[in-house]
Amino acid sequence: MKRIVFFCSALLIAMHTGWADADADFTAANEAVAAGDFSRAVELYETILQDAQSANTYYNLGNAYYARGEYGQAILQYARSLVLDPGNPDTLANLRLAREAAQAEAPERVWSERFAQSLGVNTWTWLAVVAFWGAFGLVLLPPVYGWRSPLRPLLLVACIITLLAGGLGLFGYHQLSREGIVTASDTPLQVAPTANSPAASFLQAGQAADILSVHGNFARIATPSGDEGWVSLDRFGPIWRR
Amino acid sequence: MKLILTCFFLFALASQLVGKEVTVSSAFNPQQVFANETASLQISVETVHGNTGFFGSSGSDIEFESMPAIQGLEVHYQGPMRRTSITNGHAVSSVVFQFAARAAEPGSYTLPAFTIKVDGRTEQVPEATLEVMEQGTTTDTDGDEARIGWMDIVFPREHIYAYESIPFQVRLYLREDQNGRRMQDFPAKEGDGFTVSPFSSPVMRMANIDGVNYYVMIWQAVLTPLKAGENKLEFTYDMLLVDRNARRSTGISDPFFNSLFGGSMMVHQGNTRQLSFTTGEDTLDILELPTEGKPGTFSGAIGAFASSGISVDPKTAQVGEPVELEFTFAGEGNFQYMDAPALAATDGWRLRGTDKDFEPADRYEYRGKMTYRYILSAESDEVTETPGITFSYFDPKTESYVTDEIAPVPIAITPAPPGMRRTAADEHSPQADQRGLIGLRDTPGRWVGSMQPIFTSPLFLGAQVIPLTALLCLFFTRRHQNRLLTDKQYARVRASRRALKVWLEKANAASGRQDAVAFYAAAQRAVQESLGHLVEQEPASLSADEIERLLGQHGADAESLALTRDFLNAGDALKFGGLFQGGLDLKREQQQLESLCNANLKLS
Repeated sequence: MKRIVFFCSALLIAMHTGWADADADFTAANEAVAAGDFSRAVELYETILQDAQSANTYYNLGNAYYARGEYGQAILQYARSLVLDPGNPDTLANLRLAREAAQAEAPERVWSERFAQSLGVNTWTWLAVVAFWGAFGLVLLPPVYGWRSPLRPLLLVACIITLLAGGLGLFGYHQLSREGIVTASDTPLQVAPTANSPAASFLQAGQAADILSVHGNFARIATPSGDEGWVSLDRFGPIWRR
Repeated sequence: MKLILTCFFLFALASQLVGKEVTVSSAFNPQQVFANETASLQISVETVHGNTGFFGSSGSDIEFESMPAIQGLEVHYQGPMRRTSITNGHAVSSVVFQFAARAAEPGSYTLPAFTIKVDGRTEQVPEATLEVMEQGTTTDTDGDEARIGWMDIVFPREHIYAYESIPFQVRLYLREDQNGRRMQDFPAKEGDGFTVSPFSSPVMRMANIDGVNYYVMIWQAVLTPLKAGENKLEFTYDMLLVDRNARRSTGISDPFFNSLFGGSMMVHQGNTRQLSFTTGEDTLDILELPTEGKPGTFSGAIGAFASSGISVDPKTAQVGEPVELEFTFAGEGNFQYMDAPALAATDGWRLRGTDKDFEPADRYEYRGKMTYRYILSAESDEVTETPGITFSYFDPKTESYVTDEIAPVPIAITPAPPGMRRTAADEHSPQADQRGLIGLRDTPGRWVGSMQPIFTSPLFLGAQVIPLTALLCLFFTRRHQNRLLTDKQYARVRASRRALKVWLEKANAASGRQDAVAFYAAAQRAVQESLGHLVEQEPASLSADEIERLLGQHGADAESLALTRDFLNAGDALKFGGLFQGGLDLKREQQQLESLCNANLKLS
């Protein structure tokens, strides 16, 4: 038991120390933005995000890319920020501006995706898990405890509805999790995952596409218009960072 | 096919007056038809009488002796049509003998001249020719006045600009003598490079072109070219043509064409054919908007517009609080392809976003009222008015840019509460130069180790064992308690096992101490408890005889019986019979006791 407590404490201290460093880098990156050194700011934000991630860091990184005129990258970072902080109005406003600047259209969302985006993925997860165990307990325990309150079926229905909603939200996020953003203009959509492969067409910065598979440094994607092909991951970023 | 006609007319309208003048003519109408299409052959006899009174005029006796047959042309007599009129004091009577003529094969069919008798006099019927074309070879015979129909596109002017929305018409001309039955509601567009609004319902007109009457069906819509340069545009329309002479055959009617294409039209299914009309591939030279004089505030609007109002809500706000500046204009143009007009003099303001609302005044969304809403927030309490709006658009009629300056609206801005004031760093942030971009966040917020959902974490999945275990513990504990209360046998088994465990431990302890008296006393109790599940009485009250009887009743073997008897008697033998303790192997006895008790527990 002591060992477990020690291990957990050490882990928490290590995490806290790492995040304290991230806090310092974050402040430095903001100062670089204030000084107009956007390249330095981008470098610092990217360094932070290697180890720790936060919605605000992605948001500020998006602003730094926007200031550098890299609208595809800005759209990608705003989209990542929204994964951690869904529905943030400032992020949505900046994302809209970045899309306008990149002349990129917002991807069409099916209803399950729009429903999912009303809450964060972890919120949906907790809702689903709590509802599942609640429903399990409400089925398992009342017969042996002799609980015959009319509240029980109501609670059970509420748990089942919450479980279904959570499942739907997670399904929506499952669909969204395949999405990525083209970060550079005139990105070739190649017919094979090799550098010398011919391009079937070209994609514009900020365009969204679904990732079908990944092979080395190439991702096979499908655009909303139905085109499929390979793009280099140097010019295309998945929204859900591994 | 030969046709011999015998005619039958006697007209008795009066008059054997002086000087009858007779004119005979013949003609096919139309003179050109498709194979299997029916034409009308009309032989007209017109007689001018000399007297002036209507009642003084009379008809003529006309006699057909025969009409020559025409090889390959099927001719059916349909009946006469008579008419009498008085012109300049002369009574004119005419009789038109009508025939239906139809040929199955293309070619030129000529009715040769022949004679008839009018009031006993021989008159010559002149020859007439019918041209029969191969069916379906053409639908658009440019330059041929007798063509059945055609389609064309009509634009209000020649110059069309990219992304300009312009009304246009598609017109379908159909010769008057044709019975058309529509197969589709609207013309279909071919070719990309344009968007077309929904079409209007067709409007019908009559037109006379080169002496031929045509029905004209006119559709209107709005066209928007999506790129400059030469773009091809074509519309097609399919129609069924119905043989007029089959109109009495069946009762199918089309209300649409009843009123507009030749009155009541009866359709004979066997005498219809499909025609595809097309406007042909028109190549339109779409112009780029002129760069000369193009204002920097041009936001893509092309048309004619008039500003109708600007307002702000609320009229009093705090620094940083969003306010809505609403700008409305109306007119006609490309409402779907324009961006929000530019704000003028945005110092002290931050644009947070725009929204728009369009109220179309027609089905084409060409005319209407557009409202743009700018979400602004003041950055300082020194501003006293909203930004103005510079609305620039291109007027394609005058081919020039027009710029409307919309005056700012007064507004009262108060300082924000202390906690919400912007920092100096915010004021000097380069982000302030980014038009409308909301600035940096000062704190990193909550850090997470990964963006991946929590349900992918093994720790999270493993932790699900906790609620599962807790719920199962609650379930089984409660179920056990319930069974103890309701199942006496179960309760006895549980109680005897618990007691047996205690006595076996005591026996074990006694054997460790080599205390034979204590061991056998504990062994006796253990044997009693091992049989406690078989009786309702307290196991401690079981006598040796009862124990032996129980074992016998429940099928215990002889060895168990003997062993039981030994354990029960050994204690007494030690106490009262002088059994020598030194010769006892209590460890072995303990093992035998445990085996015996386990065997007893299995009895049922």
